[in-house]
Amino acid sequence: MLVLKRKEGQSIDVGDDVRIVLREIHGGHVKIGIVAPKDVRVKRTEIEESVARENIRAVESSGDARMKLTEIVQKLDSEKLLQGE
Amino acid sequence: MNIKTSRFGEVDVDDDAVISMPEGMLGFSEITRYVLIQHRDGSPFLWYQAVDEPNLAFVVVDAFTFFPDYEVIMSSEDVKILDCSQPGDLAVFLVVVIPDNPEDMTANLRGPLVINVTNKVARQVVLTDDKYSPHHSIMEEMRKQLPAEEELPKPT
Repeated sequence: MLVLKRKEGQSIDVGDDVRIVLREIHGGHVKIGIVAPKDVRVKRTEIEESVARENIRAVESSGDARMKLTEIVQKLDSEKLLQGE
Repeated sequence: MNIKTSRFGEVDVDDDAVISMPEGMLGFSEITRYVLIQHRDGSPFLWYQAVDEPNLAFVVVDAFTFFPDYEVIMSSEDVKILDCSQPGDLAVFLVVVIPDNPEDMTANLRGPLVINVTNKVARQVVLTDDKYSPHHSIMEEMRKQLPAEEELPKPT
């Protein structure tokens, strides 16, 4: 990994058409501006990761999900009956 | 065509029903062909079953059935990949996690599964809006959903 030291207001160019600007540095937070062509996808790493993690949990929990879904529906049905009484 | 599944055995589906996902689900980029299987008649749950991997299946629900005000704002890249000309082409599903205690069931509102029902291309879209959580509890919404039947006028 290339590590560069930059000051507020300075920028870094990646390739010919991506520019990363350090807009503001304050109390452990950095505001970053990104100038890039429209077709360049800018992603916040941890959000993609959190969605992928949920997918993995979903698959892991789906092994016996048919049974669990039946239980859920039965449970809601019985709650519904109790309410109706 | 016949597909092998670990949960439903061999399932016969129309060739046209196969949904292609050029990039796969996040974390499962290698698996690119899926079919939707209804959990059972009248159930809000469906299975998003991989065609080429019998073990791989996600439980999903229709997003707008549970969250009528749900908003999916797609990037130009999303629109390009889904190749959709009108919003009516799109169906939106949420991936559900069903832990041992069903009360803790959650849906991923942050990464909806968007399917172009016309050309059968899908993409898992990652929303930028922080208001949507990747693990939103849905038992309350289910409780609101299911009693609808009960509210129908009863024959006297």
